[in-house]
Amino acid sequence: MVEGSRKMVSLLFVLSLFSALSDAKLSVTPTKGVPWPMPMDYKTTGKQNTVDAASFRFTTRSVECDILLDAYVRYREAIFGRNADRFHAMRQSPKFVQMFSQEGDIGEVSVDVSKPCQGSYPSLESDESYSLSVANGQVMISAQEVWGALWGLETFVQLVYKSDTGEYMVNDTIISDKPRFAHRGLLLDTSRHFLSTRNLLRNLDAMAQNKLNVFHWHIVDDQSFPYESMAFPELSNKGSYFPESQVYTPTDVAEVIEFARLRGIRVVAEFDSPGHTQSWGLGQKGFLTECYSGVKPDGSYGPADPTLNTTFPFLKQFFAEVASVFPDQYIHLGGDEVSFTCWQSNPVIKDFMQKMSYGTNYAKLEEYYMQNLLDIINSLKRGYIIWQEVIDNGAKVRPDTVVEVWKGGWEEEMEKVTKQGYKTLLASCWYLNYISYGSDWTTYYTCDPQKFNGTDAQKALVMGGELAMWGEYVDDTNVLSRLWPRASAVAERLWSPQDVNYPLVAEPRLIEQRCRMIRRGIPAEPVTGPGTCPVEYREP
Amino acid sequence: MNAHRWNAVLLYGCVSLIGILSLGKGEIMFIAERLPLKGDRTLSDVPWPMPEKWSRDNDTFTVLPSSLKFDSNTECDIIDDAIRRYRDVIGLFKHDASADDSDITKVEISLGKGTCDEFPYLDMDETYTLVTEMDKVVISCKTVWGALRGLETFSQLLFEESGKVWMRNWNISDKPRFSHRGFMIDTSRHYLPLSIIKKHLDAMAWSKMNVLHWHIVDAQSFPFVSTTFPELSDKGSFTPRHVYKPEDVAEVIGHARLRGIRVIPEFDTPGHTHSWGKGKPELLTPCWNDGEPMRAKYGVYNKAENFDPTKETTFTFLQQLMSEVKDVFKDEFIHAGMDEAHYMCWQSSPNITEFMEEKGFNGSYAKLEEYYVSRALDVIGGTGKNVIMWQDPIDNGVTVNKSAIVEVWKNKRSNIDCAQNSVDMWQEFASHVAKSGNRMIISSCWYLNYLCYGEDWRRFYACDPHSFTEKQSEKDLVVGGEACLWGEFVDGTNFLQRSWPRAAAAAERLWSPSHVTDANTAAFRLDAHRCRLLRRGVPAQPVLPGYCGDYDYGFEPETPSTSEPCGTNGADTDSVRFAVTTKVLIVLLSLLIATIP
Repeated sequence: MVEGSRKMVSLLFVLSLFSALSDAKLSVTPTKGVPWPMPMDYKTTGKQNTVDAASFRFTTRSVECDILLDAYVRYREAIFGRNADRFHAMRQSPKFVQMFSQEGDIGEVSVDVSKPCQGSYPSLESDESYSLSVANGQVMISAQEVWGALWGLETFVQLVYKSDTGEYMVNDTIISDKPRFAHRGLLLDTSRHFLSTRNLLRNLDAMAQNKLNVFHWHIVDDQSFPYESMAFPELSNKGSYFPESQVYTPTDVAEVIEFARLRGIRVVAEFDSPGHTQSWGLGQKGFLTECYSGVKPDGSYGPADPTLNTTFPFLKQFFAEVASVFPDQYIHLGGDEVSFTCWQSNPVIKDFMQKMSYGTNYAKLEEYYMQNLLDIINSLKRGYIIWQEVIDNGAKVRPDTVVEVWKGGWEEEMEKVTKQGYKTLLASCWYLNYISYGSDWTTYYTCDPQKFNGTDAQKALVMGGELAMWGEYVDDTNVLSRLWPRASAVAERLWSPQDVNYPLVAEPRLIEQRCRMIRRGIPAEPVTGPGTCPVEYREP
Repeated sequence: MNAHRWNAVLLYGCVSLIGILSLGKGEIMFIAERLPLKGDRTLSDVPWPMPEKWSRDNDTFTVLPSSLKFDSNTECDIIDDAIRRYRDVIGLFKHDASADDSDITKVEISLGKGTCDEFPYLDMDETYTLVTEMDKVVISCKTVWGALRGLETFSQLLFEESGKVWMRNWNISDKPRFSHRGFMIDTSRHYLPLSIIKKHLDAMAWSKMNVLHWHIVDAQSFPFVSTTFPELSDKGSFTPRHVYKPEDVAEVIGHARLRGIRVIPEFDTPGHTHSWGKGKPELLTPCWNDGEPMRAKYGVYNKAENFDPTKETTFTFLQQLMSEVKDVFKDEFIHAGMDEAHYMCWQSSPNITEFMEEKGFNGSYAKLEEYYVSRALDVIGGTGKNVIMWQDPIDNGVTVNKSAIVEVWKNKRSNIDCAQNSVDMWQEFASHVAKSGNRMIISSCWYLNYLCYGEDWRRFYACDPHSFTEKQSEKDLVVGGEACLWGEFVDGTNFLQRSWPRAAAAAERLWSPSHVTDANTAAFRLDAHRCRLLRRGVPAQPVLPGYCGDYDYGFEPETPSTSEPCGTNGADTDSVRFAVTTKVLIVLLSLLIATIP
């Protein structure tokens, strides 16, 4: 029996990899039953246990809640397939249990959560740590909060693999785990192309399989406004691509939020303004700045118009609705890429600039807009995440503001932002919409968000990061296959210890993770070169 | 003028409005507001690929898909099946099936020769004309293949508006610019399920491509099940489930034939044959390292590589396999590969050296390659088939039989160079092949596996297969081109998405006249085509921001059962079921035994 720590396991991977390489790298042998992302502390042995499919059950040791009960159903299915449920009724019979439970070594996973969790919603401060032990035929998951227990369950499911003879196996393992970063996000853009609610849910499943915990929903933009507002229904009636089918109704949004919550995932909605708002203008007349050509409006529109007395009352009412619909403590306010050309052309704005003594500094006007918007959000008792430009332009924001860095030269920017004492998120390295040939996951994998010049206190302000799949060239046809498992590389970077960072070592595990995701219904594409999965993807 | 025609005239007042609305069904948009799209949006109702000659006016006619009659003057399963398919395709248009009036009541297919060819072939006649007459659409053609292309065009002329299906008054005369319009799939690096290959063939037919080049085996796996040598796939496939059995291959060929698509298998030798060695180790040349055979040299060669040309048994084997292959695949061509026969392993082997001395090759490995190539081509020639092969032997100075078609695949531009101003650099290779006088297929500029961010279809669209020469005699050597999607990074999860509509750019280049080159205008038509593919069930990826009207991929069927997010696989379910069934049986048996006194 070989016992190994995480590092020893890594070493074994490297060795097995070299033996594969000597075979001219025709294939890399995937791991079996090793989790992704790699836990903080992971000890496993060669002692195998069989998992008894028929009697298998999850039991709650102390605190029970909706989140756990839902997870048990999902995870039983994740291990044994959809039919697992059919045997549930059979399992109720004590005779049945008695008769069958001897067949496998492990028939029960017991889950111990300390804090009450009924109806909980995750937050930036959630305790996601857990411990997991598979030993002496017992499986035990303990966590302070239910969020840790969820990840423990996910890890357990990943420890289970199938033997060559088709039995479910799990090796004796001791894990003590917690994420390196609290904010591990994924951005989807539902404006450039509409994404069906069904695919948003499938993606949340995929996120949970990789322990990502924030769905950053870039829900509207220039191209379309699919969010159906109860207060301003015209926004989506006029601004969506197709109001009959390409909108998110209040029911859809609630479904996404609940589905995410049950998986320990926060939903942070982004309503980007004052730029990126062309589609708002279709349903909310007088919100956008009229652009002028000479002395006349030329029929086109620019960013939101901060000079009108209707703008901020509208925003106040709109964001009050957003705050009531999205329970998360943060709202993403965008604030990126504001073009000044239209503002510059508009005589009313020019007058306003003079009145406010801004001269020709339109960044001041942008700051004015943002400041008013931030005050509104403040009054709604919500925190906000903003793209880096808002800080770059010198707006004064709440001290608990999270600044998302997305441009090139992120090291300097992170240094600057954290020096000012703001919490920050990195996205620059992880624009997954920019595709290129081959195994590009390795570049995502090796980008470390704390690798910039700064004090420990500055580094501690890094809350994590987000990968982005902007929607220009992505819709329901390709969003999932383009995301996964490339996004898994980011997920491990944000979860696992800093020194888990060798792509060659990770590769056999990434292959297993992709095949596991395929088995669980996600069309994760091949990213490591030729090969196969035991089970090929089939459209559900 | 009959009543239907009056109808059309009465509608004339709102005709231009109808045109615009219908174009709004597939709508691409700017990336940023300051970058409005260029090009002529009004051409987006012209079929893809653009016909050789066409005209339309603003008269519109209603068509009732459910009661539309298709008449053909020829008995032929290809025509019958096509009519059935296109009935389904046009049935996808949303319309009120109970409406009783329809201007167009019939599609008449008139075949000149009245023949029904068995299988499609190189230089088959795909010409057709399509005209809208008083109450019917007439497709005239010389062969069934022309009829298929005409039907496809017809299906693209229809559009839905206000609960009805319409078409304008068209007059089309069409034929392809090149006869060989291929797509190469690679089922060795990753396996492609049959359902995906068949959907892909559908998309090819809808884009008027006519050759499936099936790179069926390679170094990584051997999924082709040979009845003569079953050990090749028994040992060489990824798993026993990752294979193409004879009935699978027949299904692909049959599906392709009905769509006017040739299926050309590629059995690539002497290189790229690692997986063959699993079932038949004796085929490969043992490589030498440190004075020992069967020793790999990392990064240079494996333990054994390349077919061993010194053994007569190699050619006997090839002869036996090819005599099976010639019957399985119906096309007159077999692709023999012949690319990247790296010499390093051969160079390491004393046996090879000895053989070369015997043959008087004077240390020239090109001569050895030539020896293999000519013997292998003789073997294939002996089966009665013609050969296609990659350009490599020509590059290496090997003399190649004039009857062979050479596929040009190399490109001096870096594969990962995505700069907008970078140009394809394959012309000198084509020019070199032209000197040898062989006919050729161009694929260098259509390597779909090399992807770039954004509208990379524009690069495929810009490539002209004649651009290597000014001489007509050299241009005439080009039989066509192929889009290639090598399989290193594609499988069932992303194959169709990555292929379409990018391959459609190559399809138009190979079908439409050389002057159809305005990509800005083509973008709108390509988007319309992608939305068409979506509607017909192919998950073609977007070309720009936007949407496809009231339909997008995955919208239907919207039943509660499909909203379950997590799929599972059959094997798992089956094994659970099996395990439980077994247990139940055991229990019943033991109960039974217990009751026996």
